[in-house]
Amino acid sequence: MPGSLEEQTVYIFAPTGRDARLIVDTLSEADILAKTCSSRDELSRALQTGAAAAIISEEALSSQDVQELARHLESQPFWSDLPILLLTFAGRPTPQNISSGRAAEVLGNVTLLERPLRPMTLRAAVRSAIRARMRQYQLRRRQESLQHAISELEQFAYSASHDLREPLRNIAIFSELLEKEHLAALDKTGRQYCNFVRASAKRMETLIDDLLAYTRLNDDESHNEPTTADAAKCVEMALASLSTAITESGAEIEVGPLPVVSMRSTHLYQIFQNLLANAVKYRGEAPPRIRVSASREEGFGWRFAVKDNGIGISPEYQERIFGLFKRLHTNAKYSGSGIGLAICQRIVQRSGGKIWVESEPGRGSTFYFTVKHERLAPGGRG
Amino acid sequence: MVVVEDNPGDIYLIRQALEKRGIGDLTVLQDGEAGYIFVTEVERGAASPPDLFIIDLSLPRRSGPELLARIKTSSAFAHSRIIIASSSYSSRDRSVASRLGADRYFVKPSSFDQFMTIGALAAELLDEGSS
Repeated sequence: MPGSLEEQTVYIFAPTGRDARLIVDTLSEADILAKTCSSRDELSRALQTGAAAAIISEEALSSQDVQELARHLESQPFWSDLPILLLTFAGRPTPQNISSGRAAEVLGNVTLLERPLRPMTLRAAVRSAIRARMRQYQLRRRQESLQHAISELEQFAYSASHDLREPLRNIAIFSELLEKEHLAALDKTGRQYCNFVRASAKRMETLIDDLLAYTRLNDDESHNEPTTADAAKCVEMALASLSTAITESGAEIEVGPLPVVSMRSTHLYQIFQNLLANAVKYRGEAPPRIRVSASREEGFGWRFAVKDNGIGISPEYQERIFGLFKRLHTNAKYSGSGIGLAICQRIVQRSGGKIWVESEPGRGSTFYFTVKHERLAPGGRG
Repeated sequence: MVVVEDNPGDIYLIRQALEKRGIGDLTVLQDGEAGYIFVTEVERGAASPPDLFIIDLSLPRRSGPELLARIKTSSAFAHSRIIIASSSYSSRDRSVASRLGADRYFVKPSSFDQFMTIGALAAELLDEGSS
């Protein structure tokens, strides 16, 4: 059974010791672990170390107690929703009845039980609460093992990438030295082999760098980077990083008015950098014409679009291109690692948005992605 | 000079880089355990402490950071300078090295000319030490 002994125990807080003891006896007869708390502090301490459920009689709760408990319950982890059984008196309205009503509203997972209470009713209600609590413990265990698996996987990808880099460096450097210092000793075929080695090493280095960038997306979460990004600035930076390719291809780029959105600016930059690089790279005969724009997405936030006049993508590949290492072209024709769009997708999905492409072969592509509105808008929405 | 490095290619390159700077007296240890043994020998007076260590970050048996921490706890190496060399440009690895007291962190590059700059780094540290 999941959970410690405390986590399987029902705590009872009733001001008259006699009531509390009666409840403990009733529950013990049904093999339910139960303990009494003689003060609110004791109850708070018990709830802190873990509890299956709490049984509280209404006359024990001052409105300050209710507030205190509510505060405690609000700080529960996401998997936890402590069941509370509140014992009230049936019939006549009293000040206690009123504070019970309020307690039922603010304490979350509350079941009201009216006294006088039959032992059978009490046991059934407590059993049901414990069952629900056990489910919560299962959820916690799942969550923990999932979190563990994810961090191990990320650690693995990270270390593997670094360890792969080590021999690769040597391949790059020594094939470079072979060409530099022993060129005369090599015939034409030998030089060609050398070229293949160097080009492959270079390509592998790009792959590893991109893979590292992909795994590192998680590291970024803990950084204290502001969570609003000026899309216009991100596009500007992305264009600056691509200036050589843009000049060489003769690309014309039009950028519409762009908003400020709730996303890390390094992430938004990465998205634009990848989409714009692709728009320039996968061009047809004509020089690239690219348009970046944004429009409001009703009830959600913003939808960005990067439109090009390039070679386009057949419908059957339009979903596949966002997968890790998915490529449609040989490296000789269009070089790439197949990670760029996977990075974009990961960033967009993590912030609750979507990314997709609309395209027809030979008639250009438009990549869309959505960004949610921030709940509060301290930096404005542009 | 003591180089603790397990990759023969990197040993060759480091040797080249140092020779170009006229630094020739080189002891090469091929794993972290050998580094540990060397440290103990120096403490016993059976070997003299080097002016400079170049230590690879990921070594077999005992890692670079482990060896670095061991050296730093020993007064015998008060005047030894330390370069940690690594293929990793992760800020985590870099900050571990500096926290443990490395004088420099060298990211091993993938071009020959850039790799040779470790020679200048070594020379600079040796100059600082002698002045």
